[in-house]
Amino acid sequence: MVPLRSIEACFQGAIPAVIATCSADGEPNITHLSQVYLIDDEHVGVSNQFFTKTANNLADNPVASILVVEPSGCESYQLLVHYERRDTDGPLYHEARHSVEAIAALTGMAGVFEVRAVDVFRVLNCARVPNELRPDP
Amino acid sequence: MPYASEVLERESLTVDDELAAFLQSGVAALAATADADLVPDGTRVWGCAVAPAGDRLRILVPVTATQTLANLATTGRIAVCFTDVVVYRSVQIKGAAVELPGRALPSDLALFKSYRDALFTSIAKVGLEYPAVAGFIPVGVVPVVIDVQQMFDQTPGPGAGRHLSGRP
Repeated sequence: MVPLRSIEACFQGAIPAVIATCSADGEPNITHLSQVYLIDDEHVGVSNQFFTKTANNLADNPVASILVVEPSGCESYQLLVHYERRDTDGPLYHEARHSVEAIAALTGMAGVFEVRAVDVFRVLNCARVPNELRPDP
Repeated sequence: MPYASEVLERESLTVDDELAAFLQSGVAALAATADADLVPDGTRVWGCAVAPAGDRLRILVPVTATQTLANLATTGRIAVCFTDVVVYRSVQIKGAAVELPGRALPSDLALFKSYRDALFTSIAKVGLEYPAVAGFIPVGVVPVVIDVQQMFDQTPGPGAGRHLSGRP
């Protein structure tokens, strides 16, 4: 597993991440995230701006896959995660609100991007996605 | 494919000409699949060609996306999100993989190159230019043919999640 601390740049919100989930009856879903937050060596937080489908999927099936991107070279990392809890207050929640409001203001999406909570996930695995420059996994 | 009789019972939708042009432009595209234990997997998509009838998509996924390809071989279900990185228009298409050809044709490689150039042109408009984006480029691509079964508007805002009905 790639240590999360070694890819801290992926959690600065420079390039949007994506989250893939799956419903209880096996239907996959994928959507963009404004930012993923590094909480500690084993946990990440995700600002909850989700469509209902993603939230419903996580309620029924807590395993998800998150793709994050390191901004200087656009290398991608895939996080296999397990949903643990939803924070609607606290330092991380307020950091996420301010961060997403800033992103929304910069992108003309003020009032559209709205953080309702921060969802906290335990990271089960983190792997670099092979690319043309570094083809080996 | 073992899943085909179950998944293919669903009615196909068709992509209209305007949406086809969007899907085949330089929009960012990502796909989700899941294995039989409901563990999801995400990967980037590197080109999309809409069939003339509008009912199927031929998409390109990285040859190294082995979990995606394994999931498609066992469950067949896939969701692909297409997003204009400049204006955030976003559409999610869900369906079933009906062909896994296993290797790219010359036409697939041409599609990959034209898509890559169009995507990087779009990304440059939001401040990321080559070679900073080089890490995105896959080792190679393989095609997947999808039967279109559901379409959703996923553009951030009040219309997010709305079903798109498709061409009658």
